[in-house]
Amino acid sequence: MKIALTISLFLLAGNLFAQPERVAQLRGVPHVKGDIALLGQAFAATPKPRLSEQFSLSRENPNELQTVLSGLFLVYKSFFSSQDNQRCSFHPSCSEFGLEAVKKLGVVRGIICTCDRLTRCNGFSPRQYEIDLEKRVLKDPVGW
Amino acid sequence: MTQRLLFFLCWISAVSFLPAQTADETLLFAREQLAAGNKPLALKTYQRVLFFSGDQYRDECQRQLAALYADQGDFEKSAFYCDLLYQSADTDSLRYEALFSKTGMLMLQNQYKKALLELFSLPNNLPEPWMSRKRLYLGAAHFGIREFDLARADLLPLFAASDVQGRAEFERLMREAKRISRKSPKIARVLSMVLPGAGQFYAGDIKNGLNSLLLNALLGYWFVATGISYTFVDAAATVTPWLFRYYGGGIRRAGEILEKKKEQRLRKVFREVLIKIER
Repeated sequence: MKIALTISLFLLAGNLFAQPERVAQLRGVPHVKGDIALLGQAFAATPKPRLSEQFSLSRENPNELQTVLSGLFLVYKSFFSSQDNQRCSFHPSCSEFGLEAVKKLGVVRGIICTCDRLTRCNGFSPRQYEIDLEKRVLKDPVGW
Repeated sequence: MTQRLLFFLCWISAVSFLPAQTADETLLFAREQLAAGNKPLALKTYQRVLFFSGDQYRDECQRQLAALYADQGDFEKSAFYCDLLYQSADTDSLRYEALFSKTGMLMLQNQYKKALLELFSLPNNLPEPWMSRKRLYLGAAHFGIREFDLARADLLPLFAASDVQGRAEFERLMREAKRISRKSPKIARVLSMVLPGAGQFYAGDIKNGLNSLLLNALLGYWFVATGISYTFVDAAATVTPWLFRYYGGGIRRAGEILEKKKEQRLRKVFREVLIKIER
């Protein structure tokens, strides 16, 4: 009887002491390791996406001509556009527009649309376009 | 019409007797969804509990909502719920916890100055381990705003006095951070002005440096070749706009690249500092 009583009291005491611990866990005990993980995330390296991933449109090419055009687009983006001082006043930019137009409208209509866009990319008539407030450029999607 | 009225009256009287889901049941459901990994539904349900239950489950709901929004990558909303938790917390430990979480969320948004402001609201005589946590966050925020001496003063006490090697490594990393931050974008731009690509090389970006050098060399060759074949007036009319476009672009980019590279290297240094502290 005494042994049973002692064990019961022992278990009860264990439970009493365990309760604040559980509450502490619920409310978040100080954990420096968790802080280090969080700060590691805050100071994580920003991943630089590959150009072909950035412009996924250049990846799905149903024919050889579009593969060549996509390749030219990526070469332009990598070696020329990356060194350019000027920025296109539209979104999508003229090169992206060209690729998208050829993909969506076909080669002939796509090239006509791109030529039309290139003549309009001069910043002289911003009032005719809606403004993309996030990117601070004029909206001009592909359309025929 | 009478039938419709009767149906409406029956429906109203039946609805008023139907038992609604209580806050306890909804909270239980939210916990179940969280345990099952259905986080979007858990988030919505916790919001419902917070709205309808008043102060009853406030702390748990706010804490879980902050964690769920952080998990979704919405650090702004997470910081908002941390702030609510901070304001409504009834114990100091919960208040500190909320403040540290909010500070972490602000740092995830690169808002180091705001994080510092939050940390300054903590008392200076915190018990351990809260004081260590405060030092860690202060050090991170000071490092974020490139105040390396202050960051060093905050973080050095986190190393045990007997850990001579750890302290020496930490000091070396802080010197490295200072050395990285000394590189000036102005120098990079001037170097690119003198020789295209030189600023990019100075920043440590070999690929872009070579690209700029090659492109400008080609345009320079085109200019000279056109000048010799025709006249230099023709060369100036045809090539100069291109040359200035890419030459000017190279100068501007050199400064931008240096800033980005500095940021990346400093982040790497701080991650190494964190590894040393963790050890």
